Amino acid sequence: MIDVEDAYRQYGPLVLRRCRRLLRDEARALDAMQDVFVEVLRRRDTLTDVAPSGLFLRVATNVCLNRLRTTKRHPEDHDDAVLMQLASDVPDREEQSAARRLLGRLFQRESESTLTIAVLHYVDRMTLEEVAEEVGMSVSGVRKRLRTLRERLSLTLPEAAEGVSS
Amino acid sequence: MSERVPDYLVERLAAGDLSPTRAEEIRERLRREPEGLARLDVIRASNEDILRAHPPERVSRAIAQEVRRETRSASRGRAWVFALAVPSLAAAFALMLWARTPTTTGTGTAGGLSTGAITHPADDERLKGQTPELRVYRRGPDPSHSDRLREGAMTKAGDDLQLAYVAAGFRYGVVVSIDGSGKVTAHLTAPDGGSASLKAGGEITLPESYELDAAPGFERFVFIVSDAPVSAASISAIVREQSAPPPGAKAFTFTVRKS
Repeated sequence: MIDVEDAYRQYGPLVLRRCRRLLRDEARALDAMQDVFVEVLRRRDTLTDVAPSGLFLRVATNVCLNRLRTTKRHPEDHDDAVLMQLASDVPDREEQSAARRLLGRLFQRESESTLTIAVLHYVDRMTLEEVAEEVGMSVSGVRKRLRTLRERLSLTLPEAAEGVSS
Repeated sequence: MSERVPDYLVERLAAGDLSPTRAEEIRERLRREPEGLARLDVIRASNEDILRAHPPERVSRAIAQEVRRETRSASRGRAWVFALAVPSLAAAFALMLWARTPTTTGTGTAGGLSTGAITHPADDERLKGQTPELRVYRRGPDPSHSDRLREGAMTKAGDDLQLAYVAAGFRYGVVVSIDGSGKVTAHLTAPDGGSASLKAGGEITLPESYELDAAPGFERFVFIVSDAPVSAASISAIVREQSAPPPGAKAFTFTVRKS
């Protein structure tokens, strides 16, 4: 049997910081952190991960992105600040704007895995190699996902695609 | 791409479960970064702060309770969502934790985890115990069964919603909602329309449920808490005009969509 308390003691702070970073709201981050642990407990098929910190961070990212996506689907909850916050780590103001538009598009139609890749690359500023290692894909696979994303964007939002380079 | 080591990777290093090679690679990058290794100290201090603010014994009870709640829901007809019972979940999670590969290069507590059983406390303490919370449940045909709704859940006219709150130490509060047509409904107020006295002791269920009408779009519930009474006028401004709550008060929203 498991001692959840020990698991939380070791990985809880890491998860909470991740949720704070993506949600920028303490109450929502605390709530999301709890969901992350519940989600990890649910996902029996992923529990063979030999590096739990990576698993917890990925699940935290997914949980937070789902919450943000839910928010974006509600016109009454429209709050572009969410995307501004997500894009705020991009140093250049013009790139911030482009990244925000990119993320806005992403939230509407992209898959969970593509969203995670985009956040790791554009928000966390990880290299393609680092992203590939985290998500368990090849570098070429990650590059292809991002390229496809930019191509889709360029059809409908050329300025965003131009502003975000790989 | 920035030369600064991403926080994500520093977190993984601090957690102490990277391979020795990978850990040393990141550590070397931090050495080359101004104050880079100090970032590990920041994480260590943050860990202590978080564990102090949100004690493991309380959080773990909340997590176990949530697992139990969802497992119970699964056994009542949603087995396709949460197919695992608590004991097997716990065992599987324990396997993962035992299977991990701790290293000596990280700064976290990488030692093996002791084992124990998930507790099922009788009380209703949750992680958000220090954060006021409005909870929305949809009651089914069976009066003893209700599903807790998530923010943004899809609902329809005729759904019977049961509201509950956690006061988290605040003395006064109000629960109202506004629908897509702008109609405001009071669910918990004082007789004069201002805030009512809140009850302590975990989740408090409002005495009456609320049936959604056919107004389109959404129903946004607003939970305002404070340590002093809030006037009906202030509440109206918060709900209708989304004005900021008065000093000392906090407002929380919970929106459901309507088909």
